[in-house]
Amino acid sequence: MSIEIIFFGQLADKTGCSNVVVDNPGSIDALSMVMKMQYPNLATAKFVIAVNNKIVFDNEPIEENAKLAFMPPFSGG
Amino acid sequence: MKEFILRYQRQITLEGFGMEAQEKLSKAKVLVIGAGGLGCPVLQYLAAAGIGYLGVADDDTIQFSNLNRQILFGQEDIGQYKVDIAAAKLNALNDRVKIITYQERWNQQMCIEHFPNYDIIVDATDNFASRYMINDACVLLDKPLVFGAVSKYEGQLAVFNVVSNDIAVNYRDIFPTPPKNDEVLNCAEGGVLGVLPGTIGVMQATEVIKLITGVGAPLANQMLTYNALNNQYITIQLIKNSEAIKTSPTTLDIFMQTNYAHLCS
Repeated sequence: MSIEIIFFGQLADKTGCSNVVVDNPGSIDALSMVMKMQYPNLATAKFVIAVNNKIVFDNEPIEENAKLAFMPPFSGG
Repeated sequence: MKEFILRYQRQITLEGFGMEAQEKLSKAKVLVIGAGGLGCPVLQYLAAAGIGYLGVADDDTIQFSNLNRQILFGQEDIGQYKVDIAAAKLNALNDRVKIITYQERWNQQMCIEHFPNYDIIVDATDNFASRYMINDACVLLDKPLVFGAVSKYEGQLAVFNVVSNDIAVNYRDIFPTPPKNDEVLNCAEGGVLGVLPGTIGVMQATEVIKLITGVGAPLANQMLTYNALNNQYITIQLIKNSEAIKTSPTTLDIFMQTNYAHLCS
């Protein structure tokens, strides 16, 4: 089963895509590892992760078919 | 009184708004920090809406490269201080609004001195040092903060320090520490679509009006992200972050000693 990830702002430049569908690795920590392997540029990026429109900070399980957002801080005005 | 009713007729006749909400606006004091891409539309709509007392802070002069998005300014204003031109334009739009200008780079002392005089603070700045400073001061001084930020074709909007469901999040609950220089692009490097800060700035003005009048539900404990390229709006629910307590100044003394320029470089 898979999950969808949307990359916001500069993260889309770093990954080269605005969204991607991947196999569900099961948890936030596992996903972080998979993403950093797949997109090494993410290692030098700051972002928070939202799962199904809720921000998460801990290593929570990821439900099947979840929609995730990787969101960086913006400073421009 | 007749002029008051005529000027605001379209919103006074709004169901759920009325004279009561209009009078709340005319008594409200709002401080807008930054008179740039975000600040211009925020100021313009708040002055038009009839905010009683509007603070405008910016230390910059108008550059030619500002004109694609900073809509209070014209070609003839190049080189003039933004706050002076903004005040003149806003006064011409609505001379019942009292405009206070601060032609200085906003600093920690100014937060402590001036925030208590305002009901709502609007962050329309363009750098992380100012954003973290304003956020921390709003937490310590218990002021609602309407946050807006843009990058290229995307924008973020949030209302901080407003209690909803027993919690009130702030920027540090999302990003406890500022990014390092190599972790983000600034507007000059990354560029920004001129109309984008207009969209986000108008949304900031809308949140200010909602907070003052109590009409609708403000974007408290949520962050909205807008992408102009695909019309995607995503609103995420925020929660308190245990890291934020460790990185936020806990007293005004500690706040005053914090080096924000250093923290964000």
